[in-house]
Amino acid sequence: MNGRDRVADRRLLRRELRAARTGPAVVVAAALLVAALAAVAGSFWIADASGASAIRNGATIVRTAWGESSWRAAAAVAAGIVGIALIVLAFTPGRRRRHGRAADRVGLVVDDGLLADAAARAVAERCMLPAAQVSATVTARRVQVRIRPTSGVLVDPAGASDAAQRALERLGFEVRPVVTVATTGVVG
Amino acid sequence: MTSSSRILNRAVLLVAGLLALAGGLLAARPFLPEGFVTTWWRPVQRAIADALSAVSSWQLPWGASDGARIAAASAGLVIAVAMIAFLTTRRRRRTRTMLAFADGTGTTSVDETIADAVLTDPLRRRGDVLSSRIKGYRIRGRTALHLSVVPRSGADLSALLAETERAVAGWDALSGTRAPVVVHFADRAGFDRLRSPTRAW
Amino acid sequence: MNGGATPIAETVQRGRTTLTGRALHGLAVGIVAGASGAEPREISLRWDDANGGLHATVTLPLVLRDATGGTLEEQGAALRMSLVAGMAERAGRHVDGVDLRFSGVRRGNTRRVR
Repeated sequence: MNGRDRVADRRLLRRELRAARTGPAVVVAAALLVAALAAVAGSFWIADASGASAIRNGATIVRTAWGESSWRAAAAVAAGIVGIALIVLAFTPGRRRRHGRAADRVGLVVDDGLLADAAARAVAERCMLPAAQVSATVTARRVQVRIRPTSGVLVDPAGASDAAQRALERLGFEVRPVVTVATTGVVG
Repeated sequence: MTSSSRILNRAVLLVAGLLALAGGLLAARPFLPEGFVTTWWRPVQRAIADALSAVSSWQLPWGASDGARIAAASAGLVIAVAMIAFLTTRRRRRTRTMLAFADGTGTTSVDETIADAVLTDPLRRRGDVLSSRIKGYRIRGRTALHLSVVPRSGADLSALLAETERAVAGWDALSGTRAPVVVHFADRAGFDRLRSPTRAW
Repeated sequence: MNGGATPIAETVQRGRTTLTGRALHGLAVGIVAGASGAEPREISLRWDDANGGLHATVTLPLVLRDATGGTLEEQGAALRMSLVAGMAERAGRHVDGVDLRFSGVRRGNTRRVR
């Protein structure tokens, strides 16, 4: 029972972390649905005299547009862009801006923004800088820390790096810290 | 949603992408260099012509019908049904019943409000939590709990995690089960997606 | 004279007890309120006929007692059995089944101020 629970937990966690691409897929499916329903409706409508003429007119419009090279070029470019975008969406894993891990009892998912918060605060505290002078960004495997030092006060990058890493380790996430100290400081 | 569901999403995207590219290629035909076009255009043209002639010869046993109409209608119907089936399975199956038991005298069911009172309310009352919410989902025959917590800026997340696990243990005891739980510490809602995760203090 | 023994006159009450719908409802709600600790007006109860048998559907808030109240499964089963026993004892009605749902919470005696 316990083994099965762990597997269920991990599966649940994984679906929270990977981009499911549901949004774009729904949009595409809805568009295809509309087109399919239009085809069905059209095939019935064409039996009626007025419908047949309306559809014929429409077909003529499309055919003349198809003959015009400017329209075709525009259509080709648009279709190409959309096609490539959809294929890229289909194949790229897509990372959501969050980190997750299996904690003791629950699956824990934390938004990267909160992790960045924690790292920045820890660095500001360690380097004894006001919070306004420390900023942090968390990506998949790294935490970028940017420090604007106070003029005349030396900043210990190793200490900052250590503080950032520990802040995230407290939550159980391993990230590599990259600390950048700006060359211009803040006077005050 | 299972992993096969995710794959299905991507399959739909792939098929649509290929269709779009094919359409783009057809539209771009007059602009493409001759050598590139002739290799595939003739066979494709032939294939389309063959398909059209095959389809025109179709007829329904009752009433005269144009074969092309039948083909369009049936293809449209198949695709429409497939898309409807696809769309209806996209949402995770939300459930308002967290637990259900049955015995000789009848059934007992437990609403999500109970889970909210036992799990999320204690968290919500904390000073370092802005909001918290619980949702139940049916996944593979079990009810899984998704607990979102929006902590205040500056909150101690590991302490919050410990408190959350305590609350979950309380629910485990009360429910007599060990449901799969995901706890999501979320950024403040709103324009989070547009904001970069950089904290510019 | 009969060959067999004549039964001693038993105290058998003849006739039927008819309960109005409201009485049935009120009685059941009272039993559930007593067993659960919830207020009668918080309890929603409906009687149905299930193939000739009596079936109840009850929705009530969970009363969170301080410490041990047993698991939800146990509490639910106990409540259902109380209703079945109470109806048999007080109304002479056999209850075939009870569908119970806990919805909402009450914390002991204190009301939640919304």
